[in-house]
Amino acid sequence: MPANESDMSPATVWASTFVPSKAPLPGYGEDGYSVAWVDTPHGRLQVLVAGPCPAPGTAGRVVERTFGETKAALFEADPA
Amino acid sequence: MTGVHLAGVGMTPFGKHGDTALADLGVAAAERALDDAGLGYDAVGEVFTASSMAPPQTGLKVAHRLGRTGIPVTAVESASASGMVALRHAVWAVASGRCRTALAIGYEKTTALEPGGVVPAAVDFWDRFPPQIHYAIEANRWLHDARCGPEAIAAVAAKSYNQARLNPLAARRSDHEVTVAQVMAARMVAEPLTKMMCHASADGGAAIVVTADQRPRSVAVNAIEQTSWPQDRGWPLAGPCVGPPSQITLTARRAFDAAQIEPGDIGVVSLHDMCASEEITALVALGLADVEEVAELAQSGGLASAGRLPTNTDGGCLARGHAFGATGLAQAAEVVSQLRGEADSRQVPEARVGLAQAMGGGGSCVVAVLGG
Repeated sequence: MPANESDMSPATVWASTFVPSKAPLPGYGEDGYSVAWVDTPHGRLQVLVAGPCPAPGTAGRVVERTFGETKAALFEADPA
Repeated sequence: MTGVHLAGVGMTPFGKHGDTALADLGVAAAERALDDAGLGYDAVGEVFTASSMAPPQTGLKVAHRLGRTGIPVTAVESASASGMVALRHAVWAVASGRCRTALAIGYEKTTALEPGGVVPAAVDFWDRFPPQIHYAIEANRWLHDARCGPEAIAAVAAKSYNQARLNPLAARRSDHEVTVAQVMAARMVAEPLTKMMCHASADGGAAIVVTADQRPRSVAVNAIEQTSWPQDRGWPLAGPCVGPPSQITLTARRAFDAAQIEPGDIGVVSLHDMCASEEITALVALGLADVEEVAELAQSGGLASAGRLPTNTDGGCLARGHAFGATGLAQAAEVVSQLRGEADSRQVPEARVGLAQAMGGGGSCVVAVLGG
C-alpha cells in the first residue's frame, strides 16, 4: 500500500456500489473498485473502498491514502 | 398562481444532430412552439434561453434569428434543470405583468459538442468518476431497505423504453418490446445500474410559449417552485451530483401548497431520470408512492400510460433522451400534450392535473403543477 496512511475516523457503511471498470487513480482499482457512503462523526461521506464492496452496516474506519500525487479517503472494514 | 397559461409547445426530435448548428435547434423548437400557440414572435415580450454547454451568446443568437424586436433575452444555466428554470422565469415574467407573452427555449448538443461549447473541467476529486455512482449507492440502499431486487429498477427502464416506442421524437426507439431481462443483461456501469438503466445523451431543442391570455388548447400553470440544495447531512456532496430527495420533497410541498392540491390529485408525471433509479427516488420524494409501491407499480405496468401513476410517458431521459438545456422544457411539453389529450398512442386517460419535476447537477430543483 502507498505511504501516508493516517487514521481519520470510525465509520459505518450506509450503502455502496461496485464499479466494474478501471479506476481513474494510479495503483488503485485496476479491475474495478467500490465506492461507499459512510456515516462518520463528520457526517455522511463518499469514499473509495479498500477491499471488497461492503454491505450496509459494515463497521470500519476512514483512512487517507496517496495514489501518485492524489490523496484519497478510503473506507477499511474492521477485521471480521 | 392564476392567469398564466402554457399556450404552445414545440420540440425537435431528440437524438444525434451532429451536422446541425446548436442555434438551429433552438430556433426550430421556438418556431414550432409559436406555431402551436398561433402567435408570431412579435407577440413575445421576453425570452429566456436554457443550455448547459452552449458557447457564450448563443441565446441572443437564437433570439435574433427569430426576430430583432429589441426585447430582453436572458440566458439560464442550471445543468439538467436549465429548461425548467427558464420556464419558471418565463412564467413569472408573465405573472408579474412585465409582459403578456414570454418564450422559454432550451437547446443542447451533447453527442457532438458545438464549437466553442463548454464542458465542465474535472476540478474536484470525484469529477473524474462516473456520475452514476451517486445514483447507484442510493439505489442500493433503498433496494436493501425495501428488500427488493434490481428487477424493480429494470422494470422502470423497460417501461421508459416501451413508452418511447410511442414517441416519434424520442432518441432511443426500439423496434421491439424491451424486457426486464434485456435491461438486466446490459453492461454494468455501477451496481445495480446497467447501461440500459442510464440516460441517453442526446441533442435537441424544446420551447414553450407562456401567455397571460387563455388561448385555445392552453394549459394553466397552477404553481412553479424552485429550490437550491438545502441542508441535508445524509447526502454527501461529491462531484457533479444532484440535490437530495429531501429537496424534491421541499420543492413539491411548496408547489402543492401554492396550487392547493394534494399529491393524489396528480394524474400524469414527468420527472428527471438521469438513471431509472432516480425515477423511483423522485416518485417517493414527491409523495406519490412509497418504495415498495413504486416497485410494484413498475413491475405491474402501473407507471405506463394506462397505469395508475403514469410517469415519463415520453420515455424520459432514459429513452426520449437527455439534452440538458432542452430536457426540462421537453418534460413540461409532454405534460401539456397529455393534458390537452394530444399524446396520441401514449395518451393517459382522463389526465386533468400534471406535474413536471427537474433536478440539475449542483442541486437546482423545479416542480411545476399544470392544469386542473
